[in-house]
Amino acid sequence: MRYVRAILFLLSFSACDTDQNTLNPNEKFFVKFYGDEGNHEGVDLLLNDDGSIILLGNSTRTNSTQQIFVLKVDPQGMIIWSRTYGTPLNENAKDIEVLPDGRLLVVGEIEVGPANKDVFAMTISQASGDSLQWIQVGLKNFLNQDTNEEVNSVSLIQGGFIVAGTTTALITETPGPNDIRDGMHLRFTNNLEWIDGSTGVWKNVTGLNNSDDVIQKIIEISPNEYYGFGYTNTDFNGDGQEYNFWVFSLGFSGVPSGSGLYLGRSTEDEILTSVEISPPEAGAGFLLSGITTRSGEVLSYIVKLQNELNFDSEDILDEGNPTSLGVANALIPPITKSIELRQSGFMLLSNVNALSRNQATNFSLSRLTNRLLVNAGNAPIEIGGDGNDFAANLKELPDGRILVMATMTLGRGGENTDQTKMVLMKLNNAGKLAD
Amino acid sequence: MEKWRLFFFVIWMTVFAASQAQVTDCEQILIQADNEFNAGRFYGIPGLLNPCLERGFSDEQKVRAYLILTQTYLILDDPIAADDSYLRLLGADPEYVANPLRDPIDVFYLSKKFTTTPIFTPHFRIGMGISRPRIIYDLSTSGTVLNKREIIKLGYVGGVGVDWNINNNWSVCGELNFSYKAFKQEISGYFTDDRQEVTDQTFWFDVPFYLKYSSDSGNIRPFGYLGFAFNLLTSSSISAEFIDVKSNGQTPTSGSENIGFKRNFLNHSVVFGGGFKYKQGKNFWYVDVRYMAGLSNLSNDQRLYQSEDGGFDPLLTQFQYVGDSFRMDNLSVSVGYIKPIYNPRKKVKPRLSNLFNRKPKSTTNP
Repeated sequence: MRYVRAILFLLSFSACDTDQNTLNPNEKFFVKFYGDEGNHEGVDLLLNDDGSIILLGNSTRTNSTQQIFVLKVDPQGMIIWSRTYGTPLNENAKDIEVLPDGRLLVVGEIEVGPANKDVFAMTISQASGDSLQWIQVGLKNFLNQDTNEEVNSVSLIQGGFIVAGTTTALITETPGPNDIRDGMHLRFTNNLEWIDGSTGVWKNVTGLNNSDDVIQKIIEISPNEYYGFGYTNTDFNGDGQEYNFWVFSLGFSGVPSGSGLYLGRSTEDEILTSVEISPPEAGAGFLLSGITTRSGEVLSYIVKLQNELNFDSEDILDEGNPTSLGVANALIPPITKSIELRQSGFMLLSNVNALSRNQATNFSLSRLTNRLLVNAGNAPIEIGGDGNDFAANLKELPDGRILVMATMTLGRGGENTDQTKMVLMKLNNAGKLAD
Repeated sequence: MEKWRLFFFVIWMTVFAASQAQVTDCEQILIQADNEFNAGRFYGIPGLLNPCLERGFSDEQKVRAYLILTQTYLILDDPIAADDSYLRLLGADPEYVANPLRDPIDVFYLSKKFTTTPIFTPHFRIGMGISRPRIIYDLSTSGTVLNKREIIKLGYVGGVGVDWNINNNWSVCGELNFSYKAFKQEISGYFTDDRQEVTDQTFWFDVPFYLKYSSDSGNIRPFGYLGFAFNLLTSSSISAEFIDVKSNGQTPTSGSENIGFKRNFLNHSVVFGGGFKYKQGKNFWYVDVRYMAGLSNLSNDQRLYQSEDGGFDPLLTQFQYVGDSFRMDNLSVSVGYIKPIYNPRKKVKPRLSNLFNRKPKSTTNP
């Protein structure tokens, strides 16, 4: 028996670690940088049912204009195809969706001239990455002058999609001094045909009186009702003009109906940066994420609204400022994205000002409780290299792990060796790169 | 001054002559003992030889003297004294092997009861080697398959060991070696044209255990062995360089970092090898070629993307570095020195066979 035990003891050490008995680390975590020569920026990502991931970004090569950059990668982050699209002008991709027939839809802005950006939409074959269709739309003001359109998102609706953002093609012929921009919601068919507002079928622009109005996203509730989410500095309560989250309703022709809901403190400027629909497992609703500035400090601002809106304070399920994002700095994009997790809680992704610690801009991930509070056992995780790094978007995978897309600066920061690349990270459900 | 030189010369000559006289005397004693043995006068032989055995005989003379004594005691039917004499003969020359053509047959049969095989044989070694990573999972920060080229880096090894000799041919051996192992990889294809160079440097304590078979005769004695090793990774670092290739030139970023926290401390491997020993006097020089095939993943997959404090690893953005999951093989060539510790003794059953003996059941009368 001693002999057998001795043999077994020795055999236990003879096991060899191979790919047959060892899990591929990329199944659980990875960090992947994408791009070629030049600088690349991460913008958005999509999850397909088969586990593949679509990545959207922008690419600027040396001595070239900015182009649209799209990749399809497998669940381990390896590239299936990678393409660059665009015209001789600067394009700025902003959002990507999958149409019902599987085509990819990319929307953004194209710089036609000084202070003159138009909206573009293009479709791409998901199988091959080939460009299929392209449309470019520019609005004009009452003086028939070209105006500046900026895109924030695209949302799928029945038979088409809506591109939301801002425009300087104001709805009023006599704008007030604070009427800088109005909210834009351009409607297209799935064949990339724009429903021109002049036809009366669909209204392109919504704006409030003498205010700067931005629409972040339009969500179809029914063919007769759409919810709009954005931010505005309209003086809705006589307290003066400061920015608040702005929630409103559009009718079947894109005309605002009813009153709006304004969220935030009267003394602070709340800027909405993302809108997500909470998964059914977590309780249906809308998750609004943005920032506010309080005494020179930037804080995240998160609001969860119920599924059916009455546009009053009863719609608010939860509201809070869970994390500090550092000292206010106009050079840092106010990116804040949050998602509600299927099991419980929220995950918040945001840019963080690390300059006070002699570091560059980083981004942070915060796992929040059901009450939008930072869990004591899960302090915000800050991610960044030596250079400036910026958040883009995040998604929850079916197994609960988190995908984060961002832009990171390679090199040692500040050196002329630096280049920016799109990055995709796979993290655990706490937002960490290890279990 | 001349007188003093002459005086010391005379003193030296006197001492030398005395020692030579003693040597000559003991040689005469040995011859006389041999004559007495041949004449059949046995009882006086031990008394004749003892003074020179205590002081005066060289090792060669001792062998002859103890051989005479052994034969004497065998004839006088004193087996204990015969055994003792033969044991002392082996003490004077541990490599003495009785030969029936040269020695009396009774001495030859007596010699079969004894062995001088060292129970333990220490040795030390020093050498050089090369290492090669055996990739389990090829990991990188790139979304495309990269081109990897391995470049051999020379390492070194030194250490001590001891053989536990089962018999003249078979031994169970253990060693403690300190080694430096390194390898270099050149990887191209990052962002189409950029490339990375990483030199991985590790320090180890290797503790191999193996079963060895070696020849037991001749001046040149081949040996071979197979076994197992514990490999303790005490230090691990990289020197990395990332070269950003642009259309108007190249810009490198380089640096070194300790990555011991990204590696597993305790590893294990299969070890096999062989070589030959060269006999010099009672000791040996040897040349050994050894291959250590790593069995365990050196990489701590939980720390692939983390810095030492658990944060985001800046190596990812500085050099695009993330280590592979890998084992490490090592091929080394060493030279060493063996100093057997001879132990003349009566033969007993080999200790290893005791492992196969069952304890007798205790029998107790009720």
